[in-house]
Amino acid sequence: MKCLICLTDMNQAISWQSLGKRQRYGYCADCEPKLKLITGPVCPDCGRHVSTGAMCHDCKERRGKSLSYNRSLYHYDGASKALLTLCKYRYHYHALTPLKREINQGFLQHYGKLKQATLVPVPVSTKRMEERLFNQAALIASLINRPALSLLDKHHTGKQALKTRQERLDLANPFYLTEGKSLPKGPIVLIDDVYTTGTTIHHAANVLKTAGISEIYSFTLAR
Amino acid sequence: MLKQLDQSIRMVNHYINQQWLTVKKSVITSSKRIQSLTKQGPTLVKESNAKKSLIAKQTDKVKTTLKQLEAIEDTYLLLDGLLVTHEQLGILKKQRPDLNQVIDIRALPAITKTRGFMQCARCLNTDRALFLPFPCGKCHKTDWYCLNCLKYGRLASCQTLFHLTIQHHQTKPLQTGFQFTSTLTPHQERASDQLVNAIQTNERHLLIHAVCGAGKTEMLFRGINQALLTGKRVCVATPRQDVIKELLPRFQAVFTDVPIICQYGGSDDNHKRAWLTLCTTHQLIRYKLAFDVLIIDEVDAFPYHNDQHLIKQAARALKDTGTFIYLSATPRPALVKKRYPTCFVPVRYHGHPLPVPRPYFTSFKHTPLPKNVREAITNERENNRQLLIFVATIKQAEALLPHVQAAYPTLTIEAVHARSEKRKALIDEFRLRTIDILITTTILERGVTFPSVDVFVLQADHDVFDEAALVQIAGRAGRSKDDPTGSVQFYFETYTKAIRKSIKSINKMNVLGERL
Repeated sequence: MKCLICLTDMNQAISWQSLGKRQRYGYCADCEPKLKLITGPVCPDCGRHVSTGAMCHDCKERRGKSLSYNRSLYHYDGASKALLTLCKYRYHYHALTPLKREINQGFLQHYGKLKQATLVPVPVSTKRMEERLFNQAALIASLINRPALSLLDKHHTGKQALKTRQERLDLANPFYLTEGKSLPKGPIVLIDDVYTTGTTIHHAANVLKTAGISEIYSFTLAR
Repeated sequence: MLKQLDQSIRMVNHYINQQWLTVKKSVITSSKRIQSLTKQGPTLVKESNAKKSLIAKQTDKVKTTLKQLEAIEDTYLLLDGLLVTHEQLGILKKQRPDLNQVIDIRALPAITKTRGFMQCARCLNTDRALFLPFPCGKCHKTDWYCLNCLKYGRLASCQTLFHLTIQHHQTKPLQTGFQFTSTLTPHQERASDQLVNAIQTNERHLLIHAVCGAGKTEMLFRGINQALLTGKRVCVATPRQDVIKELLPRFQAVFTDVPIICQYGGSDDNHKRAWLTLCTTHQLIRYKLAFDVLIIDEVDAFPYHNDQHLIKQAARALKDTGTFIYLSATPRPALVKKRYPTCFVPVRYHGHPLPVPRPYFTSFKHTPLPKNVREAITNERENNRQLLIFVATIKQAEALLPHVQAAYPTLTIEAVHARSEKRKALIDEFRLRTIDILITTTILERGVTFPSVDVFVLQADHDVFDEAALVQIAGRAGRSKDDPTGSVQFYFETYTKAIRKSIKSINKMNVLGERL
């Protein structure tokens, strides 16, 4: 087994349990990102950790919601930021794959009762795709055992991370439906890597809502 | 089909190249004509001063354009042998729109597959476990990317790597401003001459085996100067960052007119190119067939000595006619076995013998700072030297620091290792003698010079301390002329082969040195 970050070989104890498994990559003890799960009471709309469990300030101000609610797995802090940077900007596709079990469990914990749900990863623009060669939301969606469908496309805008909060909130909707795809019948869960102001996910949800989908949820890796 | 395309592109490139050369020639001839005209000017056209001034203006113009051309040509010449990705090539093209006309750009597939074996074109890695598949969103196939060189920017198998070359250029002598006044000892002189000779005759390999503190850097200067004067491109590479940072001011003092760049992970010079490059061996990944002389200092150091990728990359960075020069105090058997022409210098530049390490059995079971080590430190404090304490791991260094600080509250004591943020500042402070005791991991084992120190090695039986490392550590003591002795002490629980062999080899060097 090799560590995906420092490339050292890790010794794995051989046991009867380990025989069937063929795990070749993981994190070693030094590189293991110290991700913190979101536990306890959360804001009912955006999934942020709120000690009282009431709706947070941002969600109160939001008008015209088409998204039912959002749930996230980890706190968006130093460790998760570093991991997502490695994946998104250093283009390390497999940086997130060792988290498959945790992501799957987290998804089932929040959306286990939606048996017929379809995952829709939030798209990236063609230009970004040419640079990165993969979509990190589609990568997260592929780690969850539910059917995924790319319904949306995106016009090119600059990087969200380089914009201020107000600029992000004022942005016009960059998403549009992909032509020639039939809409699924059941509820839809939008998948993205991080929810900060929520603008991206709400834009995507608006597009799906106008297309005629009633139940839209979202799941992100970090909040 | 692809081959034909490639050929046709190369033809076009060649044609454009030739055209550029003819244009340059015409500029030069016109300038010459104008110059001759100005010489004959006074006899031919005496009456019209206006014409004269016009001619003078024109000559000035031509001269300045020629100068500009030369400067541009210089920056172009330095692009020779660079490996760039698509994005970097885009940036270069933005800076100079006429890049294609002057430079031959060859496209290499980033990852080549032959019979199931893969090789990364940039880091030359062939380990199958370091290639990872991913679904490519651009070409909708399964692509691979190389984990080994991910930190230099990802290369996927559907991308290309570009090799910039200049086919035919004349070598141009360089003004070096060589200022090297200190005299060499006869031994250094001999090594220096051999080096100059090897560079002049384009010998492929030369190994300089000189003991710690023999003045290896001083031996290099003449050879490098010779190479630069004949228009050769020189690179000095070493596996250690700290070594390269220490070499830079010494080179700048000697080669006053040459722009020198210093490349290491996280330095500002990584996008620049120069005729004299100092870099860590990791940075050689950027070059292919670029240098005429490649000097590798401390060849036996981690990680270069056992990383096949780095060795391959270094061989690739050198031109086919270039010269490899290896410098080491403790060459590994694998290098010695190759029987390259060797120059052996067994004495230090001040002529005194190497300090021989004294071994002590000590138990580290109960405390990281045993009683006899503490007593030894107290004893050594009397002779007014600084103290370097080597430990095997970062954890150990951090664990030991509070113990030493508690035992000697009046002294300033610091710990330095690869992960400490103030690494460079602490080393500089130690050099300025504001720190009395420095606890360090093997990062300071080689290439650094402190004028007068004692050296202790705690837990010298650890795997990190192999024979070469221990010899190098012992070589930190007594390096200056004013204080040629110093005490070196090893503390360990088991008397390992490495400890025995290191002491033996130091004794052997001293015997050989005396005989000379």
